[in-house]
Amino acid sequence: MISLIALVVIGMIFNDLLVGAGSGIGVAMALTGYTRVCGLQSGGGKKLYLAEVASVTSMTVTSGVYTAITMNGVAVFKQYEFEPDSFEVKENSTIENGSLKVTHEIEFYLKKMSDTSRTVVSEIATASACGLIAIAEDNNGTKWVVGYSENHGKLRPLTLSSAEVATGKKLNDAAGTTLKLTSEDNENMHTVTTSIPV
Amino acid sequence: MAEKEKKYRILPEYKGKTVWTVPPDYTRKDEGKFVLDDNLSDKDMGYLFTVIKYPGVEKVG
Repeated sequence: MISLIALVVIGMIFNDLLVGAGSGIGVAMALTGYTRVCGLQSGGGKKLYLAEVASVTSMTVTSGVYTAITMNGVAVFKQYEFEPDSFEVKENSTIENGSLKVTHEIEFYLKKMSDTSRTVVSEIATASACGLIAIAEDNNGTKWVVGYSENHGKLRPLTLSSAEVATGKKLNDAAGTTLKLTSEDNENMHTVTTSIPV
Repeated sequence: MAEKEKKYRILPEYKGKTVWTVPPDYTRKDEGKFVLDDNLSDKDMGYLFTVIKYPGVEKVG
């Protein structure tokens, strides 16, 4: 009987430790439900900013939202424009063997093959050696950080997973470059409310 | 005239960095951009410490 009570007490203490351990993976989190919000929204995105990992020192999170971005010296994010309706941010959370993996993907399209688009591919490919951090603004005005997380910081940034350049075949086919950046970690994207470092 | 004593200071490891935050509700030229050097005003450091809870600024004393 005494050992049973001891087991229950130990279990309660362990559970409290898990709940109080912060936002890391494996932490017990109470369900809070979800209230449907009525209102129109828009799909897609309008702005993409990229920075090399070395340009960013850290981000400060407050209640799950990034409220400060610290840049090294005068380093800034660079904006990459793209064709309307060609931009997408995707996030896929999967659990296998009791382990959580979150895959993030950013895709955008540059119309017309040119030396400029070739340079874009080349510089993003080169920067992928150490990785990139993105701020993606969707068409609802919400800005998302991709490639930086609380659990991993700058350790699991975005890298170029493909840059497909095609002329098309017919006169009225699309000609241009589709770029895809991906990263994997164990945390869902955070929003950011700061001014964009540009 | 002696310089007014500052209430906040930048941690050494953050000096030379630039932090971008939500612009404060008082008027400042760079809005949400704060260069963490000796020219940063006490008011700005107070904003970063108190409102943003920025880890690179601490209260003196």
